Amino acid sequence: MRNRNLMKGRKEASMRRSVVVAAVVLMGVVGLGQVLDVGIFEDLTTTNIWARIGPDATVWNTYVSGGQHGGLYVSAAPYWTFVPSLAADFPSDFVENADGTWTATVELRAGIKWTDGTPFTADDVVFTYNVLLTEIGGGRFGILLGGNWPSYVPDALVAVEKVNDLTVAFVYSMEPGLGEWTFGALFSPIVQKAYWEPHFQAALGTDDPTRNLLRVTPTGEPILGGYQFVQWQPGAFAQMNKNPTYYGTGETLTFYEGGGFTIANPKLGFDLEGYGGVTGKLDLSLTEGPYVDSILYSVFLNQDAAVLALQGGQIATFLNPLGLASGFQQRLAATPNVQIVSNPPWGFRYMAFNMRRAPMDNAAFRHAVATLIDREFLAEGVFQGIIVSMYSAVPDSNPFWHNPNVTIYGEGMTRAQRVEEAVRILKEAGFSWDAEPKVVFPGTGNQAVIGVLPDGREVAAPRGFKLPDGTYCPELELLAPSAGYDPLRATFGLYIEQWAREIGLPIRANLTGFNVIVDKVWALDGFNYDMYILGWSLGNPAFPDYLYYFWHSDMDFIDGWNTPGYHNDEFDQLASEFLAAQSVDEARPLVFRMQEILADDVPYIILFDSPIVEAFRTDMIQLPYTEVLGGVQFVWPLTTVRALK
Amino acid sequence: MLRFVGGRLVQIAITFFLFLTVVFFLFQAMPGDYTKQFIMNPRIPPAAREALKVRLGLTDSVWGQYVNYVRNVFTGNLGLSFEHYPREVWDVIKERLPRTAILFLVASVMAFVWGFPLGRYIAWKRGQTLDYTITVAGVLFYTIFTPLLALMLLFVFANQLGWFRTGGFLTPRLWLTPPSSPQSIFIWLAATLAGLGTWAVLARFATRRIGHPRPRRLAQRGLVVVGVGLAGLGWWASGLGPFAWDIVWHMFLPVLAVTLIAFGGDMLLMRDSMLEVIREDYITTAKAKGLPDKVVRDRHAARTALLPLVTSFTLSIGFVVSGGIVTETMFSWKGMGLTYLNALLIQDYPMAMGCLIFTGILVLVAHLVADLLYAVLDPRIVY
Repeated sequence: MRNRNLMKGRKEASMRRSVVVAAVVLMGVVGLGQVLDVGIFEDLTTTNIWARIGPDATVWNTYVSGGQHGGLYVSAAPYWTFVPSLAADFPSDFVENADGTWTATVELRAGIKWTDGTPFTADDVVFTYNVLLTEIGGGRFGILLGGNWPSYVPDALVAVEKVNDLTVAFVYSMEPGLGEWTFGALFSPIVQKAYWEPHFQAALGTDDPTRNLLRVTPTGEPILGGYQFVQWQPGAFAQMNKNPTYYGTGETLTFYEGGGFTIANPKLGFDLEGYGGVTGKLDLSLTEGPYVDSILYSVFLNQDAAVLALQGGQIATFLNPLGLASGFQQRLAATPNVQIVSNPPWGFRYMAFNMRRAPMDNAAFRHAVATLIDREFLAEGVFQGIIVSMYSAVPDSNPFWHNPNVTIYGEGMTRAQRVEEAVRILKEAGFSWDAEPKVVFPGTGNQAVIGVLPDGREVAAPRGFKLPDGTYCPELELLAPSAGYDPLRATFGLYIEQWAREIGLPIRANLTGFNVIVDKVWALDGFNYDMYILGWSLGNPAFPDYLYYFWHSDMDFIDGWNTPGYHNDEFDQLASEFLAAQSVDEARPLVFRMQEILADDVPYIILFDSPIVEAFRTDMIQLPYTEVLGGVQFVWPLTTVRALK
Repeated sequence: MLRFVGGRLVQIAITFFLFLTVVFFLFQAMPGDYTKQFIMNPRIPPAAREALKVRLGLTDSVWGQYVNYVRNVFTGNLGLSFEHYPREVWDVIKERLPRTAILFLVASVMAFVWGFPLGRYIAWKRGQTLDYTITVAGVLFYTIFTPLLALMLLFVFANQLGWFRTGGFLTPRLWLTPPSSPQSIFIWLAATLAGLGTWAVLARFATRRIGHPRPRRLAQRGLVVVGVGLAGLGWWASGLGPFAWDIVWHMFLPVLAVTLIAFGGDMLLMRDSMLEVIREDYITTAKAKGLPDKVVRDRHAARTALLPLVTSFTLSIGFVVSGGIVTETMFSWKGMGLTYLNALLIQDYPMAMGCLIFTGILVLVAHLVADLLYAVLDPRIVY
C-alpha cells in the first residue's frame, strides 16, 4: 500500500512536472512579443567578445552579436557618418605634453547604465583599453588577441587614463592621424570592468593568458548595446533579446542634405549637433528602438533551403555577405510579399601584377594588358549585368572618396581599337614581335588578329613576343580562382588569357584553388607569382585606409599586403599624409590624388564587383532604409528595424 | 576465435597508425595554413598573425608536429580546433556526433529493414512485373542526384504542403526555454532507440516457444507496441516529450532522403545475392524435399544471401559518424560531415583529423564486427 502510494505520488509529481514544462513552453511561445526570424548560413563560433573581435571575427558572429557592445563612436549607416555613441561629443583636439606625448580627451554621456543597472563610467573605458595595452610575453594583449583588436590599439597609443567618472584621456607617443585615432582607437567596443576584470586577472595568472581569456563563456555579461545575447543552440539558432535598458531607445539621429546631423535623446536628456547641424533639408531621420523583442537567427546551410523558408514565411530575411545568387533573385521576384533590394558592393575584384619581375615591372606592359581588358563586354555581354565594372581603387559606390577622373584604359574603344592601342603602347616602350599583331577585317564578323613578319608576309597569328632588351618573354602565369570557387573571376581569367594571346602575349590562365593562390602570393620565400586575380572587402567605408596598406612601400615585405611590390615615392608620401590627416576634408584630396597615381601606375587592374542583392518579406520586416553601401547585411544588426508579425 | 580476434586487433592497431600517418602528411601537403585566412584582413598586423601561428603550434617543424600529434591521439587528446579556438576538437565532436549518428543510424536501419525483405521478395519473384517495377524504382533512388531529391522533398513537404520546416533539427520558437540541451535529447533518443531494439530482440526470444507462427507474430508485435508505448510514456512523463518530438519531426525529411537512397542499394544487393544463392544445389534439394516456398526462401536462401548485405550494412554503420555532407547541407543538419568539410576547406587540421580519426576507428571496428557476424550467420565459416 505504501509502495502504491509512493508510486502514485511519483506519478502525480511526474504529471505535474510535465504540465509545468508544457506550460513553460507554451508561455515561451505565446509570451515572446515581437519576434523576427532571420536566416544565417553559418553557425556562431563564440559568444566571447574577445574571441568575436579576435580570432573568431567571422561575419556570422558579427551579424548575431555585433550589436551587443557599444563603442565610443560609430560610423552611422547609411552614410557612414562618424558620430558619438557612448561619447557625449566629438573628441578634443590633441595637446602636446611636456614629455613629447600627445593627449586628447573624450567626454562620456551621463546616465548610461549597463544591463545589470550599474552606471557606465570612465573606469569601463579605461579597463577595456588597458586590457588591450597590457604587455604580456610576446607583446601587447591587443596584438596577441588578433582579429580586429590590433586596429584599436595602434602602436602610438601608449596609455588610456581616467580623468573623472565621465572623462577619459588618450595618450599617444605622437600626434595621431585619422587612421590611428578617429577610425582606429575610438571604434573599440567597450566591456564592463566589473564583469571582465576577474576573468582577465585569472587569465593573467595562467601560462597562456590569451587562450584562457578567449575560452571564457560569458554568462549574463552586462552589455550596453541594443540587443542582448540570450542563448545559442549550436548548429540550430541563436537568440538575441532587446535590451530594455538600452540608452539609445528613443534617440533620434537626423541627417540633413548639407551633411550635418543632429542627435536628440530624450531618455538621457542629450542633444548634439555635428558637421553644422541642421544644414539644408532633412534627408533621413532614424529613431532607435529596439522595436523587436527577440531576433532568432536560424542556421541554414544552403541558400536553396533558406529561399524556400523565405518563400514560405518561415524567416523574414537571410543575411549573406555575398548577396543573393541571380537564380534565386528570379525565383523570389515572383513571390508575393518579397522585396528584392540591390546595393552597390564595398569591395572589388582585381588583377595584380608582380612588379618585381619582368615584364610586369614595365608600366607599358601593364597599360597594354589593362587596355586589352574589356570589362563592359564581360559585364553586359557575358554576365548580363550581374557585375559592375570598376576602374578606380576606391569604388564609385563611395562618392565621397571616389575619384571619377582617373585614367580608364581603352575607354569607348572597339575590340580592334583596343588591340591596336595595346600594340602601340608596347611598341613605343620597346617591346617587339617576330610576327607583329595586325587586325584584319576590323568591325566585321571576320575580324581577326594576324601576325606580320618583318618582310611583310602575313602569318596566322602574332608570335615571338620580345622584351625591350630583345629577349623572348617567358610564359606568364595568371592565377585565378577556379569556376567552382568564383565563376566570375575564372571567366575574367580565361578572357584575359585569350585577349593577351590574341596579340601574342604569352599569358596562361591557371584556374586553381583559393589556397593555392594565397600560398603562392604570400609564399614564405617571397612573392612567387606573375599575376593573380583575387578580391578584397574594404572595411570601413568612412575611411579607406586600405590604400595605405595595399600600396605603400612599407607594406612590401613577405606576408605583407603590398603584393605587387609597388614603390612610388609620391604615393608613399600621400599615403602617409593620409593616415596622419586630422580631418576627412584634409584627407580627401590626398585620396583623390592617390587614385590617379594608382590608375597611372597600374599595380592592380581594378576589374569589377557584383552588387549585393538581398530579399526581405515585406509582411514580416520593416527596414528604416534599404539603400546602403554593401547592403543591409553590412550594417546589421539594426536597432531601427521592426517586425510586422 | 579469440586468437582470430586478437590478431585482427593487432592488425587494426597497425592500420590505424598508418592511417594516422597518411592523414597527417596529406594535410601537411595541402597548400597554405589556417593563418593565411587572416591575410585577407589588412588591418591584422603580421605580429598578430605570427602570434596566432605560435599559439596554434604551426611554427614547429613538421616532424615535431607529427610526433606531438601521434602522442596526443594515443593519449586521447585531439587538440584544439583552429576555427573554434580555444575549444577542444573533442568538445566540438561531442556536440555534433549525436545528431549525425542518430540521423544516419536511423536511416541505415530503415534502409536495411526495407531493403532486405524487398530484395529477398523480388529475387524470388524474378522476371515478374513486380520485380521489374521495384528494381527500376530501386535503381532510380540509388542513382538519383542527392541534392535534387533533397530539394524535391523540401519543396513538396516543407514549402508546398507546409508539413515540415525547411531545415535544421529544431524549431527555435519552441526552444526558447529549453529544459535540456538538444545534445542531451539526441543522446536520450539514441538510448531510447537502442532500448527499443534490445526490447524487440528480447521479445523475439521470449516468444520463440510459441508454436504457431500467427500467435507468435502477434505476441512479438504486441510486445513491441508495449515497448514503444512505454518509451513514449517515459518521454511524456519526463517533460521532454515535446522537445524530443520536435527533433523527431525535423528528422523525418533527412531520414526519408537517406533511406530512399540507401534502401535502393540494400535492396539491389540483396536481390543480386539472392539470385546467386537460389541457383545453388542445396536450394533445389530443399525444394525437392517438399519444403514450403517461404521456408526455402527465408531459412535456406536468404540467410546465405544476407552475408554481403550484412557486410555492407555493418560498414555503413561504421561510416555513420562521418555523416553525409550533401544531406547535412541540404537539410541544414550541422553534423560531422559538414564539420569535416568545413575544417578541410579552412585548413583546421586538428578538427579535420579528429573527424577522420573517429571515422577510421569505427570503420576498422565495423570490419571486425562484420567478420565476426559472418561466423555467426554462416556455419561454414570458422575462425
